[in-house]
Amino acid sequence: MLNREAKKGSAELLILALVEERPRHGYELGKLIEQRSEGTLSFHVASLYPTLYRLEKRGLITGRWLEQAGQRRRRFYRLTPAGRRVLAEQRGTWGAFILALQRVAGVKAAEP
Amino acid sequence: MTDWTAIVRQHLREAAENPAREAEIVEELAQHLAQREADLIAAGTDPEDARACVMRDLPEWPRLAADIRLADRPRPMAPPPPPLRARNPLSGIRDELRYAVRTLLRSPGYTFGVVLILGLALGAATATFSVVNGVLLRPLPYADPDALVRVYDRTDRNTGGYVDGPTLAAVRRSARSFASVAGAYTYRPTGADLTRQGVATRVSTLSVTAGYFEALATAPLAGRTFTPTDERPDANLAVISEALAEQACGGFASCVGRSVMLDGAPTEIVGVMPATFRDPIGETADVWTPHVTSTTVHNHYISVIARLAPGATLSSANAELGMVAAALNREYQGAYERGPATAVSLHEDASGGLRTTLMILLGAVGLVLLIACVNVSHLVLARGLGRERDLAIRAALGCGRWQLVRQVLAEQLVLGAAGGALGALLAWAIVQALLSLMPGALVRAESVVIDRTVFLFGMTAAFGAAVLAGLPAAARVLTGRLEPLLRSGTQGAGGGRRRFASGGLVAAQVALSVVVLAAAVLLIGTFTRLSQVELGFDDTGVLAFEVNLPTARYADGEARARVRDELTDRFDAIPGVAASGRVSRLPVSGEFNVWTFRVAGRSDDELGDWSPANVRVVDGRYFDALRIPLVRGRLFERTDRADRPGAMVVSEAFVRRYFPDTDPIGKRMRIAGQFWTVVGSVRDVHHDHRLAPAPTLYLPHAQMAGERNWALTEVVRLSGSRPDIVTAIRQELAALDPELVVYNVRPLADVVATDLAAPRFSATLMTGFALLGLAIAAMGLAAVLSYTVSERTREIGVRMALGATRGDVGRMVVRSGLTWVGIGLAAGLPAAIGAWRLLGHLVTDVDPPTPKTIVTTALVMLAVAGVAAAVPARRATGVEPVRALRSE
Repeated sequence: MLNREAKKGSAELLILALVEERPRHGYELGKLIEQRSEGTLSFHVASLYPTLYRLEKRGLITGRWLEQAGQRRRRFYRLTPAGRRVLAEQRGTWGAFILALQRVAGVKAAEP
Repeated sequence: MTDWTAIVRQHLREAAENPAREAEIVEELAQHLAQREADLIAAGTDPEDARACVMRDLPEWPRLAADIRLADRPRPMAPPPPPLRARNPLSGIRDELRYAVRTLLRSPGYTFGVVLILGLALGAATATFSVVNGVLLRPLPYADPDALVRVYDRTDRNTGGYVDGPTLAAVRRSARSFASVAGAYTYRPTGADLTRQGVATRVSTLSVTAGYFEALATAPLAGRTFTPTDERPDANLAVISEALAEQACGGFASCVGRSVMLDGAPTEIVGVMPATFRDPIGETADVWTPHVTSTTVHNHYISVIARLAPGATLSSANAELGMVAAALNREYQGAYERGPATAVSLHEDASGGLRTTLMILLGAVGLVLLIACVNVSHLVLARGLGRERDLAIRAALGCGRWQLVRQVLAEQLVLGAAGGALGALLAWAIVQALLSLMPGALVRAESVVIDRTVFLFGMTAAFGAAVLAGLPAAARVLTGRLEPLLRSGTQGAGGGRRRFASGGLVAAQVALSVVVLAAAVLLIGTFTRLSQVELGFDDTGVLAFEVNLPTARYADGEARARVRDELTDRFDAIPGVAASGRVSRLPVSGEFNVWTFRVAGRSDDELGDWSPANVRVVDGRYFDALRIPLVRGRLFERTDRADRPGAMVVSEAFVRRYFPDTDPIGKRMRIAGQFWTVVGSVRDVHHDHRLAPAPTLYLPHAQMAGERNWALTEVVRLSGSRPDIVTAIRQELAALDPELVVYNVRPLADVVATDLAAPRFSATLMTGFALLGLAIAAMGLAAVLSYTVSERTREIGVRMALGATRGDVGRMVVRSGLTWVGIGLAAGLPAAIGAWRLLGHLVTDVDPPTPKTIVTTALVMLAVAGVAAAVPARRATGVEPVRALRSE
């Protein structure tokens, strides 16, 4: 498990990256983060939704209620053009950061 | 399904800037939670568990609301989020416990079984501990009780450590280690007749020296206690109890200074002791009188208690007692060769020889508690196995292992609390039953209560036992591989390993039970042998009681002898009375009046100076009343009067010891300052069940009446049932002297039983523990076998279809059970032999184990196991092959 601060710092990047592929709702985001990180990262209600709302308020994502046949309506979030720019920026920043960690602290990615 | 919308709405009020936005947020979050719950249920989790799992993940609401506010409507002056604080751990535990209660209530059979087993074992353990607490741990009821000591004179084994007068006087005079030193005459219970308005009642008395109440740090309610100047024969002073003051004067204040008739002598009441006051040795008296200490060297008769001076310790006091003894040896040169008196803690002294017995019983009940723990741990595991699939799903869905462990332990805590409560109730009932069924088995019985210490012990034991029993299951959750269970279908995997673990737990229970059972078998054996000891007299149909002749009115020995003669005639004349008489000390009441005598005409080196013998003063037809047969010579007759030569009857043990080769009849002996001639010998009578009959001398009351006013116990043998015999005896007594009192009436059989109270107590308790341990182990065995049978129903069906008889199947089940029992026995018996060794080492009157003891222990264990295995075996033989094969 990563510590709280690391999780918080990476939350925006993770969410932006996931909604880049296609619009997703909050529960799906939570599940995907947990699955793809193989349990290393997990977001519950308390950490997930405030982040979503913050991103929306900053105009990086937009939420919209959508109905699918036979289901209740859900709020799907999609990436805005501004969000796409920020995602690219953050990817660059994190990439540099990870490179720096590798060089300075000898940090390596764990074996999958 | 849970109404998550309501829950979220309730907690997230005003998290958004307008109601519409708030509704959106509520809907979104509620949906998230509902979806998670639905996913858990879809994966096979029990709805109740799923809801609980979601509940546990729920955020800390105020912080979430603040976070949302901050994220959703950033304002320049946004209030900072509340400081991060750990989620209130207590509320978490409360939720966990509430959930555990709900889960347990859904398996009432399991819950009932565990609570019952824990409750029974805890009840036994708590009851035993309350006895240990009352007798050994609770401080004596005096101020600064640790400073209280008893002083013993251990130079002569036969006198039971009583001190003689000169030693007491020397210690009182010169020992600086003691703030106060006092003597009390507790050698035998004493009493007096208290006469008011012509009516006499019997009160118990205790003769004490000055400093007695001061040593015990208890001040009188009114008046004063005794001073050294009160210690004179004609003092006629008394301190009385509050209860007696209430009766005699209607209150303690008006009592002081009044005069009452005590044993026919006007006696002034100088003080009243509070109702809370207890005498430390023996029963608490109604009346205390000043004691005049004997000045006779080597007359060991008085109990000495003392309070250590500030700064003094037991060892400094004992060092000083050594110097006192040295001074005495110089003072009584030649006649007074002695070792020093010894001070011991009064608290230890008051618990007497019970310490070891109680510790052994506590150890045994600890084993029973352990058996219960092992049994319950097996039940928890078995239940856990049943729920493993469920646990695996939940673990896969993100309920962490620690969360599952916490849940197992929470259930155990709830079970422990219920078991502890049941145990406390049982303990109370057991203590009440023990105290009322076995009076006299315990000293300080009045302090055996369920107090705070006992309660704390009970609850600690309850939670400890419950958590201990949950550890194997918790360890399994933590270390076990849960995932494979998901794949292996309903039957689960590892049946063989599981059976092995179950069998091991059964074997452990059997091994522990064998140890407790072995102790019980040995104690029962000892008690049985003791109660079958041929005591040398017949106690059936004999009534014992006491009649005191007050010295003030019967000052003359001849008068006392005459009255006792008349009593014999009158009692013998009552229809239904076969024989009556009296004795200075009843049989099996311990060694008493061990006096030294000298055979006249024998040289000193032949029998070594003075020899000890128990002396009994008897009167009337004592030997007939107790059916003690005459062996040779004659019994006492009315003609053996004070003016005739002294006549003596001796016991056979006396003859064997002192006249092994000669006829004792006609031999002359010097005892109590005069010469006596042996006129007859009688069969031996035990002074104690545990000891061989000691050499005993009988002297006739008529010839000893002048020596002192003997406190004699009347014995009356009835020839048939006579319910109103006490009334008839009282009438005869009233006709003789209306102021005489009949008191302390009891069947002689009770006196005999009292001597065995301690071994009966330990044998009864140990047997109870053994039965409880056996029952729990048997339940464990039956449960394991039942489980095996239900698991192997198909296999049994196949076997029967292939031609196995019902007998074969039954045998198979019993054999699989007895294998584990055999392993348990093999492990338990060596431990049992160790326990026997320990018992024999610690307790003096326990017989050594014989092969019979070992065989009995093993057979009882096997028999119980056989019965326990029979039930599942019968179920196995009832399997219908066709149905069993179809059932898969």
